[in-house]
Amino acid sequence: MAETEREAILEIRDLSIAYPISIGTVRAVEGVTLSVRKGEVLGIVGESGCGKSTLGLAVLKLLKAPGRVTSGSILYRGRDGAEAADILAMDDKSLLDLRGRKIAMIFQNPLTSLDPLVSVEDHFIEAIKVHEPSVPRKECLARAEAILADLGIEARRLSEYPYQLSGGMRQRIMIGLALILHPDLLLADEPTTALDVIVEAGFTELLMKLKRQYDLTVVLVSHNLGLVAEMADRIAVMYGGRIAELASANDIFEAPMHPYTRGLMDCVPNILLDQKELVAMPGSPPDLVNETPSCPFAPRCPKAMDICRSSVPALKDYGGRQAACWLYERKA
Amino acid sequence: MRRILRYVGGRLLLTVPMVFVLLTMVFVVLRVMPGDPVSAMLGGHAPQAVIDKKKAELGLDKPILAQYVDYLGQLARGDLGDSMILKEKVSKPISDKLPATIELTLCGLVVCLGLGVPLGVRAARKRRTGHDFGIRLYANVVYCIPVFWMGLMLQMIFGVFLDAFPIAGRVGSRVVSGEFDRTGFYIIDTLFSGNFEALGDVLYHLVLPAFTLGITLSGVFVRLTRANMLDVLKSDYVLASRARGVPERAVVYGHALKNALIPIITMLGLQFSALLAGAILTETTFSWPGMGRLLLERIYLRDYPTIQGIIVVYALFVSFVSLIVDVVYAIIDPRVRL
Ligand SMILES: Nc1ncnc2c1ncn2[C@@H]1O[C@H](COP(=O)(O)OP(=O)(O)O)[C@@H](O)[C@H]1O
Ligand code: SF4
Ligand SMILES: [Mg+2]
Repeated sequence: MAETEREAILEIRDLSIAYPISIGTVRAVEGVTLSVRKGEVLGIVGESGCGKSTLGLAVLKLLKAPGRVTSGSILYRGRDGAEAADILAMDDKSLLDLRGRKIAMIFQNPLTSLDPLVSVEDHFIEAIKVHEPSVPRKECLARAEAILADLGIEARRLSEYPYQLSGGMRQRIMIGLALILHPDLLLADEPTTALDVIVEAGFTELLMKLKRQYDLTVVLVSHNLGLVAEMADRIAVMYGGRIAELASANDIFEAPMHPYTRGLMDCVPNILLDQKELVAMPGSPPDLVNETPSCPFAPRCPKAMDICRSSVPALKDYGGRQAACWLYERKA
Repeated sequence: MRRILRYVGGRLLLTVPMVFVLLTMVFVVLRVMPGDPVSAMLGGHAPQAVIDKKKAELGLDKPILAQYVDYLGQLARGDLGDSMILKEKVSKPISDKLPATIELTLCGLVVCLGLGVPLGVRAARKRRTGHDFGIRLYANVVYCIPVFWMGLMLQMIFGVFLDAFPIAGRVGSRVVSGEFDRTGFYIIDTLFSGNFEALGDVLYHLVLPAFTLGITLSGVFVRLTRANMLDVLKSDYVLASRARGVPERAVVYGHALKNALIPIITMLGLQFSALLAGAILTETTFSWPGMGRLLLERIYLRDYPTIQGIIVVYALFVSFVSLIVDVVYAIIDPRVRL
């Protein structure tokens, strides 16, 4: 554990996030503890609604209203591990400095993630000048051209507007904008969900290339286990706002521990049929409003036992990997 | 640029049939409406022979169609004709009063947007707080108040009780009228002649009428701005720019407001005729020597050619503004193909 901590670029500790709404409180994230190691690709998988985006947005302290962090901390250590600051306690100035320059994020829908009234070059100029106001316009454009070349986009696109570009191209430009300041960490929230399968394949390749080239640490969020499996070193499986299982991608595939992970794996072949949502698993994700002291997966779990319905299993270590399931905790 | 010019040309051509249709309607309605210039002039008790003679003089004895053809012929020569009541060309009072109307309308517009847009933005940013509630209350209240009533209230409060602003006219008696021969736009004239005391007086006189007009119409713009801002602030590109470290002010005023302005500009084009209608009432309330008062006066006198002339000018004004709105729209939004 000490080893992990030293390598960690980001440490999320016991993080809980709630959305108070009229009918109650949505507990979108519950007691999540997770570190992101320098240089790795960490995959976060789970059905939609399990709190992945909420977790990602919390890292930039950009939760949407009425989201609130109810407990926990998010420690950012940076590339050299020296800075160590709790993002959730940062003032606005440090946050602005963190966003985009140190931690960059790309989102699900490339079609709506660029300002329709702003040309590609002005997007780049803004992205640079926000953090380095003294860089002249000319140099901003030169940098933008260089990064577009890495992305396989011709320089002439710089003067175009978002509506003139395809979805795949817009998503690549989003990545270009995210990487233009060489951040340490890239959060990619469902980066391919809105793209078609062929574009998706190219995108995965591109992301891996850029990761090496820019010496990035990547957190890849997706409901698509197949996509995550292709890229991730480690995978965190989320269910109902909690981490169900956390292990290396190999371990997850060779021997999934959590029944939910197994369920997800059974769905993987469907990905070949361009299935964008996981529907093969019976039942639906839990209602995050009415909290009950039980394993969130119990209503859908083929192995559920009495204890599963009366108390919540904690995330425990099992020889270098972690799972939250009574099947193992009793034996351990 | 070429694209825009071609579009402007096309739009200008379109105003010809529009004005034609409008004029036809006004022409017919005026003549079908009870009353006519002769009885308005002579009163109800003049002998029939006198009335008939006067009517023949004015060409009102001919069939409507023949009158209409004559009128169009005159228009085609660029002549709005002569007044039937006074010995003057129709164009004379119009060119005298048009600047007053434009000045009032544009100042009203500035007040309207200057209040409506920032209040709408504020309400959206402070959603569900006291500010939001207060601003929405303001928007709904002013939306429901008729212009003339608003004018009377402002006159009473700021003119009479507080005695802070003048309640009639464009300029005080201390300012010599020769000052304003250049363009008839008092703000411009006083600026050009460098007479800042007179400029101050002109602006001072503009305050209540412009606010009357501006406040009344600002309700629509508050609501529209608020709704659009709420929408745009939820959009992915706003989140994405926040995630790039763009400061909140730049996100709100740079990205969000610019996008939210597009439907607001469209609305502006649509609401402009309402603004002019409001200006007519405001002119009456504030004894503002503009085209609106002229129109009411001449309707009362059944001065057919002047009424027709004024309506043509109003129509051209509205279509000119809507043309400008379209061009502005095309400049802001790269997706618009004119
Ligand atoms: N702005 C919001 N207001 C209220 N509830 C929200 C909001 N955003 C997300 N939620 C709820 O939080 C839960 C987690 O959502 P999200 O983080 O988007 O999940 P995921 O990204 O895994 O699909 C869901 O139940 C969702 O309904
Ligand atoms: S704790 Fe029980 S219900 Fe939950 S996943 Fe494990 S076996 Fe299934
Ligand atoms: Mg999501």
